[in-house]
Amino acid sequence: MTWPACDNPWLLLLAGFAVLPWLRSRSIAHASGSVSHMPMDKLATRLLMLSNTLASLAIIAMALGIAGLHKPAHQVDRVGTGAHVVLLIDRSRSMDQPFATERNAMVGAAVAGFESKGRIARRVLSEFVSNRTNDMFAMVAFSTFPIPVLPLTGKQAIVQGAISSGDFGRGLSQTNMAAGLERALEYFTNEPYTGSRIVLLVSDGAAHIDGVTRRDLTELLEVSRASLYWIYIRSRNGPTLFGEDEDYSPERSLHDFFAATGAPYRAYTAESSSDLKRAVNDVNRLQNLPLHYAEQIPRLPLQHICFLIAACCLLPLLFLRATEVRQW
Amino acid sequence: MGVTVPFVSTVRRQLTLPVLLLVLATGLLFLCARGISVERPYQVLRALVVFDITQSMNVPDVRVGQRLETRLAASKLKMSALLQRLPCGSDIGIGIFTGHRSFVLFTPVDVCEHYDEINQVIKSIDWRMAWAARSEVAKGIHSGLLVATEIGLDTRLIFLTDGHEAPPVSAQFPPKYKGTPGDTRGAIIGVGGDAALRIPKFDPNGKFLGYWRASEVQQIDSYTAGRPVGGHETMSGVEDTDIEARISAGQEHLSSLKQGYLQGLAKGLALDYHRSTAQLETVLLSDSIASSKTGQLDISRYLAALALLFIVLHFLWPQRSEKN
Repeated sequence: MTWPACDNPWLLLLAGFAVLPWLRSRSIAHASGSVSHMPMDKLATRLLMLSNTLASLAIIAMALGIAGLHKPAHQVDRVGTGAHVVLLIDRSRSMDQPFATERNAMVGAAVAGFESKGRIARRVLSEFVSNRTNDMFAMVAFSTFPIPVLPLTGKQAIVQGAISSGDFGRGLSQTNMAAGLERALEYFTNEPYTGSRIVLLVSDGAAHIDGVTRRDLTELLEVSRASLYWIYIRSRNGPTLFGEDEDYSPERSLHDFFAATGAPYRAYTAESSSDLKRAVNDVNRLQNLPLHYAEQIPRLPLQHICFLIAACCLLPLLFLRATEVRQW
Repeated sequence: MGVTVPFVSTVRRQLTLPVLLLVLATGLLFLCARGISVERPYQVLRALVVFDITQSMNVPDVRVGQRLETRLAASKLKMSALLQRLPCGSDIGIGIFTGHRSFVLFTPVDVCEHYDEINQVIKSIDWRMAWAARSEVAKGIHSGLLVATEIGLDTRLIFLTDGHEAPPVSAQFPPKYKGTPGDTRGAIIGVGGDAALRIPKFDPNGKFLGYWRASEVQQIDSYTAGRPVGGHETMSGVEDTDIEARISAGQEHLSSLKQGYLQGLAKGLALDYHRSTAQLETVLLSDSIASSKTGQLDISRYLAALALLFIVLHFLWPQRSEKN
């Protein structure tokens, strides 16, 4: 329960004027000079009581409104369905290379206007995020070192702002995916388990992870109980993750390693929009455990209600005053 | 029909000044209940704030309250404090600088709506995010300006740095800005002390390893140093008579706030320069950097106060005058 508060509590002193109507009603009595001149009128007395009460109420309501009565912003614990998603974004130089669409393949990288892998990745992510409005998102960018970009938040604008930041400037140097993955999983390891956990990796996968690190990652994945989703951004002429291809590529090796960790793992390619839809649908289907989250309830101003109450109190008072008989 | 005339006369008789006050008060209050606002211009800041996270920023020489903080920690504290004081409607984005470029973490978002998030991001900024060991400040500021221009919507650049260039820049061939100075306005905020101090060295886990020694850093600019073949092969046109002496006299392993250098950079790029000890919220909400927005100012409370005054007058109105 959040109690209402005032912006300027000292203005509540204005409520002291509420005694005014009662002082005046005494002065009327005196003004008449002699009580015996006044007809005994129970109705009049009651009406006077009523009008004084209304006037006092109006003055108190006005004082509350002028002092800025409001219900402060606060958090409410809610349970919904959604997931905690750490977006793990590859910001290495290789992501500036052209993406493997047919159009790109035909025009070639030499022609201006090709879409880089990074740009595709950002579009895919942006769409994913806007399709999952109930999820909490965090972001880690990685290159030579992981860069934690955003804490877990439910606010779409800042998540989109973090995704679009990749549009400015070129990629950084190396691809150290393992360090990025470790940093992403750290978001979960020290937190209570309050909902589905997903690490959504967006990368062209040109990375090598050594044996020791593989063991560490497997353990981290198990401890954090996170699922791993990899949106594979294939380079032009790059290897595919699935299919008959017998060539052993770093991408394929990474895919096999993720599949062998024992953690829930899925891989998608970003080559068609249906693939992305499949990713969103899978998350919808698989990651709808109850999610505890704190909803931010914004400040609720109550001053206008105060003024309405005051005005409503004054209306009958006005009627009484206007029909009051002062002269005999 | 016959009723009309006495009614009007009754109204006239009854519409005394006290009753009129009551009528006005009631009317005002109904307006207030609907909410009345006026348009009002106010100053907001829309900026990309870039933190220098290079190693010289780990020098602890900025006094914050009772304590000495590192330049980076002081920058972060200063920006957190600024964040609290910026008016709603201001947009802040965050970037980090190392190597030769500014790297955007997120593009500007509303400070009131995202206060917690922005604050947490500022807190999490760490020198270990650096992807390169160099600190080419001028190029970093240039890239920050280009990014801010690209983000558009009159985004300003606020660049917090100590101005320590590593490797040093050539006086003859300073880095050139590709944009037009003045395209993007903003401010360079100088962080650090005046005395040249040793730069601490840490391992990637944050363990203190000692200080950078004179022999471990590049003491002269790359143009003068040239290619490392058999001593030095300096680029043509560069003064190279006393290179060895200059190297041995080099002080690049020590670091202080390079105010003069940053002021010069700021001037050349049509930016403001302030030291971090300045009242940043005042200087950054000044006309040269802030943008003007028109907001709705709810004036219901002031009108309600007027209504209250009418009510008070109504009740204080002398009653005796109404007697015959």
